[in-house]
Amino acid sequence: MPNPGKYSRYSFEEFLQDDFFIRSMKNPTGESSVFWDTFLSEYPQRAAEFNAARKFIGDMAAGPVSEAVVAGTWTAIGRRIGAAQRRRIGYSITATAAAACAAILIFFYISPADGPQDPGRDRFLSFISAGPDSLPGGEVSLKLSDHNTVYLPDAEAVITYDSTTIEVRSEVISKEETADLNELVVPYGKRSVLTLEDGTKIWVNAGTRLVYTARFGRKEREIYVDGEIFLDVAPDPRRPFTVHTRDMSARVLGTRFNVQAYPSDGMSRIALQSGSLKVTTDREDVLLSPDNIYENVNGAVSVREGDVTKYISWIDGLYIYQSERLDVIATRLERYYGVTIDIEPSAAGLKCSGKLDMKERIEEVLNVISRTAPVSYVSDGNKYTILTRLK
Amino acid sequence: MSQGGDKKNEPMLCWAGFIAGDDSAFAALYELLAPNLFSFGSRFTDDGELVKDCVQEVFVRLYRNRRKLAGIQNIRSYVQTAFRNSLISEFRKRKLYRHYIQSYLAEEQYGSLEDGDTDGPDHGIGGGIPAVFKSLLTARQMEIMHYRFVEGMSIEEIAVLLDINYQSVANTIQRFLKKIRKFYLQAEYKSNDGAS
Repeated sequence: MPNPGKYSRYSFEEFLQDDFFIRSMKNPTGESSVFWDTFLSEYPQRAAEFNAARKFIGDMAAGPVSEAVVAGTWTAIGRRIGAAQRRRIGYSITATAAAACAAILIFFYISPADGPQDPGRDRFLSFISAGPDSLPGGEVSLKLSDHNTVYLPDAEAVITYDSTTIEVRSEVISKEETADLNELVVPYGKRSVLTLEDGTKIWVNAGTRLVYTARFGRKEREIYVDGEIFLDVAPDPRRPFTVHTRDMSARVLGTRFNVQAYPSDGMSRIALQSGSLKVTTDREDVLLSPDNIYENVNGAVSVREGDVTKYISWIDGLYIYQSERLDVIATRLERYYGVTIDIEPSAAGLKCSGKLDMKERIEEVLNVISRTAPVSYVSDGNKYTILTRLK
Repeated sequence: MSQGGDKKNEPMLCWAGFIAGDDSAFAALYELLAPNLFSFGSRFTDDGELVKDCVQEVFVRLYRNRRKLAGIQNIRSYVQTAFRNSLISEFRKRKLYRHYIQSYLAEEQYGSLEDGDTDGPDHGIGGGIPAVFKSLLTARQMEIMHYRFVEGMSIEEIAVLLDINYQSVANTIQRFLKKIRKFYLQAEYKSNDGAS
């Protein structure tokens, strides 16, 4: 944002040759409006030149384009490319795969340092009063309104929203009974699969809080998450889908990706399987392509290309890890099984690779780890301790 | 670049999605870019069908050639250029060497953006531009104003798009603003007097 003093002697022509002026007139933001209001109250003698320049921009604006013409032309395009698609179907799959490899388009750019807060995210943050990790153990809970919370004892709760109702454990609840924002809390040791009214399917991992609107708006679909989810977003070009976390927002059109944002981990990660998506933080926007893994560690952002399967396998009850620290693996198991795992400091930094079937009991999983790494474990009720194995 | 975010990046996001196999992203790309193409086209011809055909042609080709086009760095300006070329070739094909279009093609050949020729004929431009501008601008100059003040492109972007140098673009804009200054300021001071 420039200094208002910069414009203290500006003329009609000078305003119209200034990028910031043109941009503020064409796409005004809250901040730019405040800026120009301040400017005009400080330099009222500039008002005539300023207003003339503003009027010019208004006059230049193109006349309205008929919605019917735009839509009609799209229909004609659809007919032609639809026919083309059928003819080419034989090799369209390989073509798409090749194109996906070629399209490693990653754009970094710095937003203004005093950039606007994300109003969408703020709305969710103010809704969540409880601390990030104060997830009660026990049952999955679905809070529909202040007076109506449904508890689900299932290990894998299935919840489905459609246009007028919500189906939970074959019970049907009318949306009339719900507040605007709904909250699904999945404690450690539990998981859930949620289908939203637009057809978007969300796998919710253990230790996750998910907040979403019972009905999506006409222009936006937005949800908020603390924890880990995998999404299969129903495509809808007219309504982008945004996933907010505490420190970033991911905007997509229709795609499959995993979001990991446990506040206690001190880092967040997005693994994109297909489609495209844009991640926004207060500092910068990053555009991701398939097989990109985005990581944000205390604001330090990195993007690499890699195998995203390992970040997504949890939805099938598998945990795949490659040269991962043992304490990181233990934290994941703690959440998944809802148990406590202590780890001896000398074992915490051991790097392990492998695949765990988390449909097995925790003891069996720990046995697999002790066979592949030089560790053993002891148990005491729901508490497990991993020790370095003596040679 | 510190452009205000979303809007500038959106077409690239759609394009990447489409290249990655998401056809719905192609529809989104159309919705983002097509309205501006229609308004651009309407500045140069009153023939709505011709503009529709050109928009259709550009998007159909984009769809069919996506494999070859996967590496495009700026889809917005690619589409704009393709549309512009498609318009010009239609003008040629249909022998529409009259009125505004004629001056457009003449400039294409001579690449002229010289001083002086301000008292051009009335070219009969469509689109909601004040009548007073029409007499001041050639078609090529109108195109520059459209990019700068309607699409909000930078001078640099316009220079690249039209393949002319930065200074020519800047001078064209400056000269035009100087000419219309009186018209706008008069109106402004008149309305101020009325208020006081």
